[in-house]
Amino acid sequence: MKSIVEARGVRKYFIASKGLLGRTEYVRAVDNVDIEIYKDKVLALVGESGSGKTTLGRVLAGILKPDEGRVLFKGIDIYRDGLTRELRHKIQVIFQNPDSSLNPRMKILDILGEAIKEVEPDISSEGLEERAAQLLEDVNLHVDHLHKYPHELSGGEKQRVAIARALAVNPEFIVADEPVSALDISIRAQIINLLNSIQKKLKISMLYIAHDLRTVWNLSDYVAVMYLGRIVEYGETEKVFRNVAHPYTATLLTSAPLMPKEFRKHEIYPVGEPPSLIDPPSGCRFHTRCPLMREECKELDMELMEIEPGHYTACPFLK
Amino acid sequence: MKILEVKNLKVYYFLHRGVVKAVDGVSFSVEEGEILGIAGESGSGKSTLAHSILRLIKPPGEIVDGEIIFQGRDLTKLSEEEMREIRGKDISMVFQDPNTYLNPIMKVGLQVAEVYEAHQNTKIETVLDKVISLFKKVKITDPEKRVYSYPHELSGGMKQRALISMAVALKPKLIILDEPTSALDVTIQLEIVNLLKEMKEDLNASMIFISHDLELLSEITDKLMIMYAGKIVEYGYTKDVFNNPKHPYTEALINSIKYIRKDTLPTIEGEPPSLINPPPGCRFHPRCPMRFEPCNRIEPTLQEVDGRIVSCHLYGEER
Repeated sequence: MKSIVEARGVRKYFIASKGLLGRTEYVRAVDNVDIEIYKDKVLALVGESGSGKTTLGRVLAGILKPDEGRVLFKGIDIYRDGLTRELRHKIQVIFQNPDSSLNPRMKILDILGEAIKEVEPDISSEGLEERAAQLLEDVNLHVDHLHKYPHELSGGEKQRVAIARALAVNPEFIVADEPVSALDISIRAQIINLLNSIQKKLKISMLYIAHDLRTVWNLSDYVAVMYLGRIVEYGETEKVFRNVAHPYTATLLTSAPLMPKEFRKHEIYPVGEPPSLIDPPSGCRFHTRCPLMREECKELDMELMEIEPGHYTACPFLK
Repeated sequence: MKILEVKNLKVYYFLHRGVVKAVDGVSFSVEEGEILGIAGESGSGKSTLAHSILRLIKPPGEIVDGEIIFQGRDLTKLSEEEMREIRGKDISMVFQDPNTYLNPIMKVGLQVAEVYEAHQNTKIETVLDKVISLFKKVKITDPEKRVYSYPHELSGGMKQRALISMAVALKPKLIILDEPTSALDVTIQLEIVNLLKEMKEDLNASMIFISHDLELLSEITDKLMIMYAGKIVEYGYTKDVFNNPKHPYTEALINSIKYIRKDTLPTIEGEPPSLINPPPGCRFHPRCPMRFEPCNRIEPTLQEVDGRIVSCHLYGEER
């Protein structure tokens, strides 16, 4: 299958504190990650807070330079060679909170207009309004909203505007970082359905970052599960849910009370407290919370291995 | 035996733009040893309801009508002095974000000890042992060390455990939990829910568990009350409500938390209404797939249907 984004050996540390004696502490947000996003497919990146999933998303979106590693977008090394303006538009990001991504002093027409002019600088004002109205229609919003300010819209409507703005530049790859986490249940499904339909209709490749497995099951073709800066399990969504192969993923599946039985192959729950990214555990990073921990897990730092076609795990012990 | 009975409670916010009827004629009761779940989306009034039981509503909000009978006394009639006696001792509360309620510059053990000091006039130093055993009870690791920790040194889950220890310190008869796990990761959420169940058994207390997360409520509650736009739409045993929802809104909410693969998720069209100008008749009617003639005209009354309470014309005489 053709990939649109390919990342190899990505590492991104943040400085947590500078010690007096020159000892600097780092938050190891992303630590040696390989990942691939296939053309026209949705990859879900799942993990809890502090797993590094948002940082990895930003690196893959071309907006955060990694310390090490390469990220290729359509074969071009984003950070070494740089993207042309035209290619940069092909990557768009949708954030969790539309309030912080939409300028409160601009009308919706101007917010969308700004994006439209990026790709069509010479567009007439009539053409611009027509295109903006079309975009609102694509995200199921009434054209009346063009002349409103963000604060006059509900949370769900604002997120639709954020999606419309992303679509304005004809993207090929969208990074959606927890796009529905801040929304009410009744609105969540509307936005997921919208993402699903535009992804299929416009053949957009997508990285969907989430912790909610219900929407991941609905939306994604592939899943990567992240724990403390590492990917611990990766594969086709159906395979990961039905034939879970890492204890961490298994604990995520069993922690959701209404998770269907067929995805609860192993009824296991994590132990203890989540460790810190500054000083991650030795060996397998999950060993301090793993109910199936063995002595060797404290030393053994496993690479991902293929257990069935298209399904990888970093744990050899979950059977 | 009923530990709490709320009758026709109305809590309004008087704003310049108009009157927000956040809780508008709500009646329910909590039996001894029962966990009642209150579910609803933002703006449904569930949080206002919780705060009004402890009389924590601040201007421009006001309890305008109704009774809150706790152990034979109407809390709406008590003086602030008398309420202070009840808060924390007979009725305690756990809030969503522990960071807002823990003093960042005071050791957590001392903050918990203050609860004893406030109600029993004991000196902080003499109750430290009590706090350590409380920390053991809520499964805080290293309790002897943790009492001397500052909030920022604890993880989110640990902070919430510390708040729970405060809430159970004086063995209250009723504990109100306002979205106690919403800020936590899924694996930690389940641990906290299990801890709360244990605490309830231990104290033989009753609980009111407020959340937008129906999945979590299905796991912990005995009874479930669904609120929409300041009113009760359905109220009954959790199992019954889940297995056979009567109100179209309840049904839609339960449908929206199903696991559906790569297909359109069932949605509730539109958005929750404004509480200043709520729709006439049934407040849900503009979004209701089952609406018929009387719904936009006549407000449905609460009635008993198959052992539970529903507010919908589908079950009324108008049908």
